[in-house]
Amino acid sequence: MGADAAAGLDTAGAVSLSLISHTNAGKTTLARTLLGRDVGEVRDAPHVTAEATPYPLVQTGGGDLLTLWDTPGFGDSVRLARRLRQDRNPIGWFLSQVWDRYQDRALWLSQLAVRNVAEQADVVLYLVNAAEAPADAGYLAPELEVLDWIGKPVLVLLNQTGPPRERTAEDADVARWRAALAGAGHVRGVLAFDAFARCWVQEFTLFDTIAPLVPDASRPAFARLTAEWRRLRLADFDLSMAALAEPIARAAADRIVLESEPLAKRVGGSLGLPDPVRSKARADAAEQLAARLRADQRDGLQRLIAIHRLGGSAADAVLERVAGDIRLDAPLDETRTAALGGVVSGALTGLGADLLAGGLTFGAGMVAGAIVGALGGAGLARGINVVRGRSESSLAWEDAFLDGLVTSALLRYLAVAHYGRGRGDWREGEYPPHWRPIVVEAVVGAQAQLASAWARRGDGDGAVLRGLEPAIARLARELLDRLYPGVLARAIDAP
Amino acid sequence: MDESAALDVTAARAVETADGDRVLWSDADRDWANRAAAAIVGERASADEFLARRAGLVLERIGTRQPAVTRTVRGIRWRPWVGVVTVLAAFALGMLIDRIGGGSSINLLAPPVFALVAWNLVVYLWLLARPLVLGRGAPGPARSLLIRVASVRAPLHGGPADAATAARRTVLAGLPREWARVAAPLYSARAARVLHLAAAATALGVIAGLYLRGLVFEYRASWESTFLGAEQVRALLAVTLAPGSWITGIPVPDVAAIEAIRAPGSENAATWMHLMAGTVAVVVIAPRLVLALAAALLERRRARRVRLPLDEPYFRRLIAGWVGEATRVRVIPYSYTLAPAARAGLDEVLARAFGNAVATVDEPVGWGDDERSNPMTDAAPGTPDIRLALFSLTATPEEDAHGAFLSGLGPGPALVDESAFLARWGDDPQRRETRRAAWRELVEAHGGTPVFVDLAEPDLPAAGAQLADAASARASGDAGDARGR
Repeated sequence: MGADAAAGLDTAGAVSLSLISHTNAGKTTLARTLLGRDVGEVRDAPHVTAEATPYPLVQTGGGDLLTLWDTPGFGDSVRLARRLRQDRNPIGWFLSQVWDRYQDRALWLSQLAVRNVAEQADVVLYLVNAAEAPADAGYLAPELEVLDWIGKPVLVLLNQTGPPRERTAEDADVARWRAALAGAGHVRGVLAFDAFARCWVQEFTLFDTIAPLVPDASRPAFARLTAEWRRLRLADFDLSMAALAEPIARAAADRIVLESEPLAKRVGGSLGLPDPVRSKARADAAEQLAARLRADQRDGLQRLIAIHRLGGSAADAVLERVAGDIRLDAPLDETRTAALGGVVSGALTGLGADLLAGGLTFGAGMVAGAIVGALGGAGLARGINVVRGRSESSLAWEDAFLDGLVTSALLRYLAVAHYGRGRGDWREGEYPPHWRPIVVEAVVGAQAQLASAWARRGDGDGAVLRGLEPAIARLARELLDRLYPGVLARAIDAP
Repeated sequence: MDESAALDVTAARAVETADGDRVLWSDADRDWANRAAAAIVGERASADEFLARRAGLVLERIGTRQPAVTRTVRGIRWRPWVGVVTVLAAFALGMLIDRIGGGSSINLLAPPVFALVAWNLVVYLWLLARPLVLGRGAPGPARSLLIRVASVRAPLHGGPADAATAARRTVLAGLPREWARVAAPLYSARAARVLHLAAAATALGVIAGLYLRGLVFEYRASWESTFLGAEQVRALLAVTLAPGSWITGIPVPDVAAIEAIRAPGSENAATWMHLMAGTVAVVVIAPRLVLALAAALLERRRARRVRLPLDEPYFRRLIAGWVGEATRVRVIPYSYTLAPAARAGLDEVLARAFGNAVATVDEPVGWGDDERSNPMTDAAPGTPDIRLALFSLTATPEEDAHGAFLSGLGPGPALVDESAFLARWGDDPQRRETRRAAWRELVEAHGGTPVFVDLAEPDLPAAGAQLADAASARASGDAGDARGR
């Protein structure tokens, strides 16, 4: 069906990209990641994809269409190249296809791929397995020969690079492959673009790199398609920021009023006298606070996953980790700590002990974990603060803890943004080690702005959100810019 | 190989095989022992001489570092005094048995002497029937007990241990077990000799006890029975005392004489004692001495020629390294250039798996390169004993490329290096498992055995063992084929 359908689509304003590679390099995985839906079949084996299939990648209101072709992989490339060398007339090998189809599947699939690219592609996206050294990829030379024969511009994408790494490591990979491909005439660029761990920001680079390779006639259409792609991705970004900021804003504004106590008891409390009834009440309140936060965080993560067109759900197990992710990395204000110590009475230390004793079993592990995480175990009870009003006390999250929530939210955002759909359902893994320091640094840098957002917590979560959302969005952009310098700025400046 | 040398060799082997992490005894030590022993024994020496000499050197050197090894080796040697004590104790027991038996009268129908004779006859029958029941060479309970007491002991354990202590413990735990296995036939003969002598000594003790007490007491002979008359008693005694009568020339008294000493009647027991002593000498002492002599001869022969399990890989490797040609291992990487770290790891793994084998690593065979994908046609000097395909786990196994290469190579072990894969996907065991499964399927389809190793950081004991197993499985498969033809 491929040829006819494509002929129909091949109108003005249409651009076709063909994904091609040696077998099992991850074409279908990459297609899934770019498309945000499960297409084709993905398995760690050779020759899984057996036909060339077009997928609409993006469409503009004006009818421009960008098509992505997923093709079968090259199998026996050496033989394919040899056959092309012997017989430069494609008709010859189309005729032999019937025979090959049954006799030599690998060769036949290779022919299908070549035919598709030769007929359909404006630009060839050639995937290579970056985990292999270029010199060991023995199929590289014959495949480049075949691509050369096809004569379309080729962009090499380094796939299977592994989890996100420091930029220097990525650059070294790119340099290695660029050197290995230096002699190949039709290769116009080399990009690190992993189907498992690419970030949408890298897609902008991909589009920018493709733009000059598109035939002149299609260039305006491609520019419009690029702008549409950017608009969609930036809209996702804005939605993501809201999904990150809202649970934190609600947590900031959240408070539980404790029942008022007789004066004598209050005096006793401030003297540090233990009171089991008060301890219990406060533990219950802390637990409620934590449960609300947990539910909110789960919804937020679920939204984030949906926005990024990933499958899977934010399981509770994932959220247990949130507590562990929260860590206060900024120095505590000494005077504030001292004041806090005064406000947090001895009873709250009792609360800490309660939580430690029973908390992990009755579901407040989150609180204990968060508190321990937020303050490095030093001031156990300080993640939750008692705010004493004139006539009543209330329980609320401590500012430093909220800062910790911002850090963990940004880390999770990076994790989701780098999670390719081709990898399957979202699941939480270890974050690349180089992320945490830069996230912490950014959050510490933005502390003034965050503090002013927390200062408005008395006016409700809407007020907090107005300050928090732009702050988080700015932080996220900073981080993405740090990981992929310049790309985002160019995208936002672009018309 | 004599007993002492065999013990040394077994001890050296225990040191070298049990110390998997090479804490006590390094690769350099092994090499040194090979070279030094070869230099001392010279080219003409037999494999036994070489092994014995080498073991001596190993124990000498490790003894200075780990005196416990020397102590253990000394500790598991046979203790001859245990044999002497056993025989003396048996004699003493014999003297006591008679004392317990009768006071100063001999009941003709129930003397300990008859029990002794009967027991020994049972033993003779057992000795005849034993090979049919137990199979050849397995020591019975008495022998096992004696062997345990006289030599092989279980070592002591306890307390926390650092790596060296743990390694020493493994060695010391393994050695007695291993020696017990190797020396079982010898120790069985030795235990048989001691036990036969002990049986003879017991019988002698019984007789000696009777006569000794006969000097200072008067033994009276008598009998009584509820069911038997004098005639039946006469018949019974005539049969049981016939050997004594035959050797002493004293006839068994007639029915009237026997009727006369029916309880409460009695007579002086001297005649009866001679008859009994003669019987015991003929039925117990003489045969037992003959058996002891036979066991001693067997023991001497076995002590001079202890058979070591030379067909086990450890010995095969050592002998192959000394006599004849070393195992040649040829590693043929397929479309994979080893990083320097992985190359070093490969050498270590090969050294582990094949000992002092001569290993060469070819230039990688190019992907899909038909001309070179059949390494059998390569102009490489000599035919290697083991051809080892080397792949990288980062590659997807393809029938047209990797499979064709394996077909050309023929069945055998295939090493799949995981280092590059782990460098990228270290935290993804599921991904690794699916890739492993794909490789396993391909390699096994070509009759090979895949061995997965992270060559950058190989788990040497495990990798070495797996590779050696894979290679020897292949070798024994070959032998099986050859026999089949």
